[in-house]
Order: sequence, then C-alpha cells, then structure tokens
Amino acid sequence: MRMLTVLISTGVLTSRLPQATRQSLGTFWGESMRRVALAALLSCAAVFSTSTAHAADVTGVAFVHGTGKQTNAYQDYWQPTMVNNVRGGLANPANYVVINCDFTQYMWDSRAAGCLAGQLSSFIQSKSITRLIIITHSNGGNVMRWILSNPTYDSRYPNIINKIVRVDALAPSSAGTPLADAVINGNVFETSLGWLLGYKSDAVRQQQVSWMATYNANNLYGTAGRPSLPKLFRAVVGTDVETAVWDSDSYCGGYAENLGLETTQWWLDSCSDGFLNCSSQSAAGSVWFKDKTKMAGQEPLSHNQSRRACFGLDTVLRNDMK
Amino acid sequence: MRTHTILSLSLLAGLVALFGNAHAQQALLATTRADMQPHRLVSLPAPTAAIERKPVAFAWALDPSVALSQPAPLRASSREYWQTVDDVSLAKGLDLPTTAQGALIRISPAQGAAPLQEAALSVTDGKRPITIARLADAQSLQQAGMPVSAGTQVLRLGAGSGAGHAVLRASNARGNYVVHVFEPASDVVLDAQPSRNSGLAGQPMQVTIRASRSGVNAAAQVQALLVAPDGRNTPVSVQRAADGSLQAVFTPAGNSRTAGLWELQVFGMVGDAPRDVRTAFAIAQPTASFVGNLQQSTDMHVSLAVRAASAGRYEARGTLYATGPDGQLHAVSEAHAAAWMEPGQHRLTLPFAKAHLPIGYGAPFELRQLELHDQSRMAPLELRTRAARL
Repeated sequence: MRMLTVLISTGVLTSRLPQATRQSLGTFWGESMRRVALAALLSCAAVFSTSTAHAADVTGVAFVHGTGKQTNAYQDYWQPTMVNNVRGGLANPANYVVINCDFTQYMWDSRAAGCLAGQLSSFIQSKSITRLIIITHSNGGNVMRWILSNPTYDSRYPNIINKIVRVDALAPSSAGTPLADAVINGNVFETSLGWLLGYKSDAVRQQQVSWMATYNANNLYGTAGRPSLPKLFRAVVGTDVETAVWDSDSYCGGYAENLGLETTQWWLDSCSDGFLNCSSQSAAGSVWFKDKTKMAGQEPLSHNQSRRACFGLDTVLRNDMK
Repeated sequence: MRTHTILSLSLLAGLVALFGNAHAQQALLATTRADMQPHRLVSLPAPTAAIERKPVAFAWALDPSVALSQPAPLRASSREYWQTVDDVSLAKGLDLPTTAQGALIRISPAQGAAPLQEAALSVTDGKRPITIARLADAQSLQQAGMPVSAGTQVLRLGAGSGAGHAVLRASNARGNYVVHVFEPASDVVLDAQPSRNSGLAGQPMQVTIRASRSGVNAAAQVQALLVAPDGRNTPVSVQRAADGSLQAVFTPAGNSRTAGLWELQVFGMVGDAPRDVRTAFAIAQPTASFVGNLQQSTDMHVSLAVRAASAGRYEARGTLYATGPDGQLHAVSEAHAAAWMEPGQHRLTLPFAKAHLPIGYGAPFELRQLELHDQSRMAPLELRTRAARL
C-alpha cells in the first residue's frame, strides 16, 4: 500500500489516468497546485512511461444456487439441460462452474459467501478467467450481493468483484418473502414460536421481509436509495404460477413443485412467482426482464421454473454469454 | 545517463514534497439526531469464529445522476395472528375471529403432536359449515420452498366465510398445535415501525405501532416483547403518544450469543380482531468508534482515526460527494476499508479514486454516509449522515 501511495504521488500512475481525471486532480486541491503538478507529471511521464500488455479475455460462467445445502447442484438444483445449454453460449463451453455450498446459513457465513468465494476464486484461477458472468437463483442473489456490497469482508472478494462483468439474478429474494415470516412466526409470550415449531435455518430467518429490509439498509447495496453495486446486478422476474393437469407447461420444472407454489401464492401479492413477490425480485439492481416478455408463449416463470430450462429461459441466457 | 537519473530523482523528491506530505487533518462534522454514535465503548472477548485478518480496501464509482437516501425503516403490516392450542380445544371447536372472506388457516403440529388428517378437519360459522379449499400438503409446500412442519395442513375458507367467527374442529388431534390465521383481504391492519434500522446496546430504541381499519386509525390494545437473536425475550411497555399512536420505547442490553437481528414482537387486538406484527433491527455492542477526525491526502484517500475497545475486524465505509456542473453535490464514489484491530487507536483509509470523478465534477467535496461496522460481530457501530466537507 505504501508503494502504491508513492507511485501515485510521483505521478507514475496518475500520468496514465484519463484526461478528465487529471483535470479533477486539480479541482481537489486547487488551481495553483494543479498547474505545478501537471507540469511535473508531464516530465515524469516521459521518464517513467510504461506499456501494458493485455491477454485475450477469457469469459466464464458460474451457477449459484439458492437456499439449501447443495452437494450436486448440477444434477439436483439446475439440472444438466439448463447448465449445458447456457454454457454452450461461451466461446469455450468448458469455462463454467456449478457452485455447491451451504446456503442454509446467513449470507455472510463462511459456509455460504465464504464457500462461494472459495469456489469462484478457484474457478477464476484454474481457468484464467478474466470476465465472469454470474447466474444466481433466489437467495443465491443475496449471497452474491453480500460479496458485492462488502468487498472488504474477505480478502478474496475484491479479485472476484473485479472479474465479474454482471450478475444475472434469476428471481432474487432481494426483499425477502412473507413465506419466511409465515414459517418462522412468533407469537406466544412464553417464547418465540420459531423454537416451538422447530428451528428453521438462518437463511430462512434472513429472508423474512423485515430482516431483509434491515440488511438492505445496513449491509447490502443496490436497493432504492442505497449506493449502487460495483457491478451490474440485473433481475429476471417471475410474475405468476400456472398449473393445470391438462397443460404440459405446468409440468416444466415439476408439477408437484408448481402445485405447491400455487398454494403459497395465497400469502403473496397478485404479482408473484409463488415464492417471491415481484417487488422483492425487483428490489435490487435493475430488472433485466419480466418472464412473459421473453419466454416462449409468454409463459410465466414460477419460482421453480426460473432455475430450469423452461420456455426458452436457457436460450435467453445462452445468447447472453458474451 | 547519471545526470538524467539525478534530475529525475530530484523531480520525484519535489513531487513527494508537493503531494506526499499534503495531508490536512480536520474534525468530523457534529453528529445530528439522525446519526448514531457510541457514547461509551465496551470490551468484549475476541471473536472465536474465523474472520479475515488481512487489511482490505476497495472503492468503486457511483452514477452521479442517481440520488441516494438512507431508506426509512420498514413499516411492517400485519393482517394475521397466531395461536397456540391443544388437542382439547381443537376437538371442542376453536373459535377464530375473522374480518374478511378467504382467510388462510394453517395448522402446524408442535414437537411431538400428531399430524392432522385432512378429512378430520372441519370449519363452521358456529352453526353452518364453511366450505374449505384444502390446498397443497406439507410435502408440496416444502418442495415449493416453504419449510412448514411435517403434518401441517393449510385451509382456505370459501363460501360462508367473512367477518365474524370461524370454528375450527379437528377430531384426531393429539398434543399442541400452532394455528396461523392470515386474512389477505382484511382491512384490519396492525403496523409496527422502528425509528431506525440499527441501534446500540444501552441506547434507547423506539417502535411506533398503529392500528387501522379501512385505512382509518383504530384503537388497539397491544403487548410487546423484545426478542434477542438468541431467543431471550423481555416484555416491553407500550405507551400512547400525543398523536394517538402507540410507542414502545426500550433499551436493548446484553450480548446475544448468536448472530441475527433483534425483534419487537407485538400482539394486539384491534377491536375483536387479533393481530400480531413483528419488526426487526440490528443492535450492536459499542466495541469501537471513530475518534472524530480525518486526514485527506492528495490522491483523494481519506484516513479516519478509529478507537477500538475490543479486538475485532472493523470497517469504515463512506460515500464521496462531488460538486457537479449544476453546482449541486452528487454521489460519485463509494469506498470501504477494513482491518483487524487490537484494542487501541488505529486508522482506516477510504481509497476514493480520482478516476471516479466524472468530467465537470470537482471540489467542494463532502464525505457522507460515513459508517463504522464491526465485521466480526456483524453490526453497524456508528453512522454519520454528513461527516465532513473536504
């Protein structure tokens, strides 16, 4: 750090800054100092000019699962069709990683964000990745947003952030879900009901609406009024659940799962994917698209379908692997 | 060649004199009521969990056209309530007040209770049956991501339901159950909103509680419970304020044994309608604070003095505002810096970068939203909305 300070002070780095930045240098300390500084910098630049060689970019994609402890997310969470179709859009389809971590923990936990940072760092290093596209689903978006919002929490985070070009967050639970509140619920005076009904995971506690509001205000970025994230974070929003035994679309991702989401919709707003209100999915970053605007047949994506190769979602993501 | 090198070194020395030593120290601006600042510091044992020990600093550019504002604490709204009941009550008929059609009733067996059979459940209005739509079973709900207890049943009241009472009977109940009634169509609402998103142990917090019926303020009787992340709880008194709202004022104390947020859980009656609402906030033990001054350097780095009373990893974060072509201040850069600290005085340097200044933006600058966090205990310690004019 001390060496970096000296280099900047002497102008070695400053001389390579863009024109606008050099102009700003003056305004920070005053006009008179600026004139002297720029004259000196030009001299220095002549002595210390350097050239930088850039290797060809290597783009990779990482699939980051949602709540749960995964040991084979490729088979169990995303399923091979989704992963393989998406990575097929890469210049080198072998440059992919499917994350397997314990996202039953709080987002900052070493078994959650720590595990994710470890697997992303290994992937970046082993494949020499220079451009990293992250695809998250559900609470995976929160774990990723923890890393983006808290770059100093772990010394591995900055390198990961610097490599990321964007996060495509499929149905992110950015503002939590009333379903988490419903299962944690507290009432009885003698104790908290979470203990009475059996302990729920920290990830479920974290995704209660009021908890996420607090974490968004205190610890996370990208929501309304807060500083933006250092990299693009854009959401795909699922807006409805459609299930009918005669409709083959209802079976994409699993009929039973979609049936459950029909029920959980009763706890949610009229616009929801069965697990998250649209407002939660849209709460952080920007909205890339709402399901019906890009899915085949204008089909909605239930919360279960937004991690599967349903209605052309895999093709949309594949075409974005640039 | 030798002459050239000497000349260059002389030039460098001059530049170091110009820039390297151009540090100016100034006091942070006085805090306001909106800010949070420890009045005393506590000494806690060093955290046992693995935590990063290397110093890390990071900064990124912000879009100056996007206005920033600290979000107001969430106003939690409830159209629901919970009851803990036993098998005798369920066999006899459990009276559930309702205020609207289409209530969702979820019955969950507590530990050791018998799972309820779908066919054994019935609902009446006291005399006539209310139709019920039996929704997905516990397994489908779990697969959908809602981790309900095994044996949970969910009913949705149909024809015959509405404002009044529903009587729930279960013929095969054994043990204790939790009954959750959610009325999505109800206009009877109980709200709770904390005064801030985070607080400090030993300093007062306030939660405002309001009841409404059809959007108009309504009278309510409430009780409140302060619940720490580790489950310890304390009753909190609730007072009526001059504006008719209810205020719970309390001073969180003690150190939670587990991570997480504190909650104020409110249990109320809005007329005959039960309503429960919860709200969450972070409470920190005041383990460190800003000393109250900063130093700025020519490279736009801002160094802050920090006093740590407990060993831990502390992070400073802040937003740099620059004056734009319109003469107004706009957020242009966000910077964080963190390091492990033993008790004592230390410095954290926010690495704002000149490269983050858009064309036409410059002095005067302001440092805003300056925060100090205890990363090892996951808590915000200090917040200064306007920290310094640079």
